[in-house]
Amino acid sequence: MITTRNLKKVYTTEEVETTALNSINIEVKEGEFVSIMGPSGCGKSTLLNILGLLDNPSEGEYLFLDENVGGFTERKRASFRKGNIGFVFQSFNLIDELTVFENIELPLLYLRVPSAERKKRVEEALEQMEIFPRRNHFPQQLSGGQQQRVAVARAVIARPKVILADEPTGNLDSAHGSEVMNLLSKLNEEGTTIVMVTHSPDYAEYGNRVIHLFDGHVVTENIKEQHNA
Amino acid sequence: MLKNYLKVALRSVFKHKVYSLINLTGLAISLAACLLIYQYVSTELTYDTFHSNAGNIYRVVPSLQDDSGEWKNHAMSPMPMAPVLAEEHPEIVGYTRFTNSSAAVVKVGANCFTEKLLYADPEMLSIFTFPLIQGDAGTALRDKSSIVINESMAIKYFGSPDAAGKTVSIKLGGEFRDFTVAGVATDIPHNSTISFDFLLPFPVVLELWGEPFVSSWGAMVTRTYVQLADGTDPALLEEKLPATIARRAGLPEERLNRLRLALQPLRDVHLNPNYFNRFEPTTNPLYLFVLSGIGFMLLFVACFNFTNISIGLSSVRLKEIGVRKVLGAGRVRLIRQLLVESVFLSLIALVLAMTLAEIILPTFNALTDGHLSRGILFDWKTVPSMIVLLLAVAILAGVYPAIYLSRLSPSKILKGSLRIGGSNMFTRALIVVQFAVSIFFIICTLYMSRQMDFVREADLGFSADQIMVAPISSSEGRDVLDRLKNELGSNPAVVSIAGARESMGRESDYAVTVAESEGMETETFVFRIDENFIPTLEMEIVRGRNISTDFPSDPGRSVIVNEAFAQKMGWEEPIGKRIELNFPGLEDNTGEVIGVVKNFHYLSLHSPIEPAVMFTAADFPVTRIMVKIKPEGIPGTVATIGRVWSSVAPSSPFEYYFLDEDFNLQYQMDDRWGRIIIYSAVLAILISAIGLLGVATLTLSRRTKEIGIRKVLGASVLGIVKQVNREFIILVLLACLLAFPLAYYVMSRWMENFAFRANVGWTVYGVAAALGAVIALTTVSVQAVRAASANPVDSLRYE
Repeated sequence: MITTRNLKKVYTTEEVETTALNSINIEVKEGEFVSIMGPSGCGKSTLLNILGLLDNPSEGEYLFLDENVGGFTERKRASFRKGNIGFVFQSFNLIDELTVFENIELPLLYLRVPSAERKKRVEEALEQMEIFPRRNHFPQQLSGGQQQRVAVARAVIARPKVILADEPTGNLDSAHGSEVMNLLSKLNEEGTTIVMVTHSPDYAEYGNRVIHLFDGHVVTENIKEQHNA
Repeated sequence: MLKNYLKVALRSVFKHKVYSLINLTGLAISLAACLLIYQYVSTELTYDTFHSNAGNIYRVVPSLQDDSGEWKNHAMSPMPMAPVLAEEHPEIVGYTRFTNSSAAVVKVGANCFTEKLLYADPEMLSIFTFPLIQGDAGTALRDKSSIVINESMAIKYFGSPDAAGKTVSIKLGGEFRDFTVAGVATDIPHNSTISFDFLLPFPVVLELWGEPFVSSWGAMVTRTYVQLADGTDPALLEEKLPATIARRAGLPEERLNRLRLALQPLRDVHLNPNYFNRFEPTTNPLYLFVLSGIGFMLLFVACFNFTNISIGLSSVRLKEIGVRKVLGAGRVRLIRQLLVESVFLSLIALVLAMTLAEIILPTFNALTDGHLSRGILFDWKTVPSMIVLLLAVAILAGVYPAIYLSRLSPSKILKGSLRIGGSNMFTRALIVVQFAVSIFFIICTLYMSRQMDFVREADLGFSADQIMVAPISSSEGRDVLDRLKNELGSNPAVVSIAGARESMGRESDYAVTVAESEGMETETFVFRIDENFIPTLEMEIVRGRNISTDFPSDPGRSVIVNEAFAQKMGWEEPIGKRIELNFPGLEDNTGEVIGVVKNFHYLSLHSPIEPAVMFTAADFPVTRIMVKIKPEGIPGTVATIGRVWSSVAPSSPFEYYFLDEDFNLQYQMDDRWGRIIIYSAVLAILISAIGLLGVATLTLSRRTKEIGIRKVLGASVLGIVKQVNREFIILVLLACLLAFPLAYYVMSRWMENFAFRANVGWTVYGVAAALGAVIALTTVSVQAVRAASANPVDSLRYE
């Protein structure tokens, strides 16, 4: 589903040139749950941004469902993102001015899904994430775990081909963290492809495979047995 | 999706209450000012457009050239002109002359008041559209004893608009004459240059004035309007007119070259003040431009605030923008969203502004002498212009933030590595422009008040203090004057009493004619006065003597000229010169110069002092009686004079004004503009300060960390406030650079309106700059002190 060939990302400021990623060759198959690990500054988030089409690589190829999307313009990337890719962030990134319901509904609005169907799908997601009673609350009124569940609901609502999670448990205590991880596992079991960046070896274990990054290079790839808790 | 945008916009308004308040108040105040200005200007532009023939009606305005080659435009023309032009030129399908009377006593039963009359030819009501509720417009003025009154007058005198056929008595030429109401007109709209309470047939005035006015081609005493046939080219007709006049008036060939007759479109009458002796209320279109300019400036200033605060607030809203982008919102969608928000906020501001405008409407009317009526803004007719205004404001205020924010990269936003708002060049430029506008208005205010002080304190060449002027009808003026002199001559509170046909400061009073002497020729103002006029007004005779009863030959033979006259004629020794003056009252149309009076300002300081001739005649019409009284116990003296007046002139109500106050009425327009500019200055300063407050707050909140570090390293509160202020002072200085030349240019143009100008020095600019700086520093300091006093631990904890 996702293939990168010799992916390279270089950041240039006025005087310094920093190579964030170098010759990255990875492959993610449909239905996989891949964890990416590595120390701070190793390029995990940069890789995730490129995979999520938030950023373009400096060199190399990025194939998404056999289409080379690496050189897309901002406009093309934006339209490709919706419906294909769902995001979950460490800091949740919910919109403070919108309620839980409205936050989850937002991707559907951008996809121009009719109102009745939007309502039905959001309500299903609310039930699925067990946050239905909270649907009219604003993000500030929720606990961190609840906020992240809203974020996950928002990521899956458009039924994307892949979910990219950037340290989804980073701001959560261990109880809430496990809750979110179980949620992601469940989604994966139901067929959603997941790529997750994490610091935590325990949570990385939830994936079928762990990719280790160091200084912008892939150092090891551990293929795990199917994790069965 | 629209619902989603609006929801976010509304919630964001409530979340950032302070900024929203700053934004909305500033925008609402300036929009309110704009709406009122817009209404005022558009009313001014609709003057006289309500006549159904408006496009075919012209005022015939003569221009005369004097010896120095200067052309002078007259609003008035000779009495015989209109019928002659209509007779000779078939393109003219109708004409009317207008003559206003000074006060006349009107009586119906016990109701007796002094009113102003308008005389017009019978076709007047068919040419102009003044609908009659009663009577027939075609015939109402045909009969010499008929009269047309307006609805208000009908109600005033008869208690109801139903007045047709009833009788009105008007005192004309010393006796009451009865007129039958042949028509009742609806009240004249405010946007009409021609208005009347009592409309009388023109033959009445011809009869009253008699010769030589009725047939004189030299006396410019009436206003002439003509209606042209459809499709007539006024330019072609204009060319033919002087020849007609020359032939019918018997003008010599050389005079013909010095006469032009222009056909001035009716719609131009209100907006062209460049005619001498005009009666119609006029507005200088320059003022309309200035007013519109003020409106736009205020609007721009408020829009700048909006833009500045939006950019500043965007640091708070960045996350939302980033998330929306991640979720697939393209740039166009984000721009659309931000513009929708801007439209939404502008709409709120517009509704606030309309309410505010309604509330301040009476004040605005008083300020501008306007006649805007309540509810004018809520008329459906204003909807299209409101929509245009709304969109203009929304785009002006919202387009830059929209483009700016939508361009940012989502991965950078969400990483939190972006810091924007408050300090970029654009924001600074906007602050500079805002302060430039404020400083500009401050300079204008100072300039105008200096000039107006100068004008009021100027030596007029006569003393207007404690001079009571009582207007009187010409038929009984001389008689009343003589009896008042007898009755009050020994009263110790009365200094002196004088009579005249022409008083000071009343442009429409003056007659202008041509004087000749030894082959030289000049246009001159004419004053018909008695021997007490010059001493009563304490005018200075620089050569020769005053007219005097000791010289029986003075009336009708001796004239006094002003210095300007003597200079224009190039006389070294004026005394004894003979001048030829085509004017009733002088025997053989000639007079001998017996004195020269120091130049005096018979008109406002807008006008230069031009040649003037003063003389007395045995039978000249006295229409103003002037009484100089002692400054002590004025109310008592006035009461005494009133009692004497009712015994010597029982049929004329005692009405009076004080000459100094009346003279200063000539500056009404200037005073009004002075007030408008002061209000604009206050508004501009207010809106700029509001905006600066917002920007300062945002700048400082962005610099919280920097201030915290500085404090940890030992900076004092004062030190930080100083440092912050230094940056804003530079902006004020830049604003001065922008405002100074503009203000200098505009004020120089304004000063050109005055023939006599105050010497306004550079201090005005210094004061304005200092005031601007003080306002800016106070505003910034309030916020700076707060930020600098905060505990640095709090501001650094986030990092």
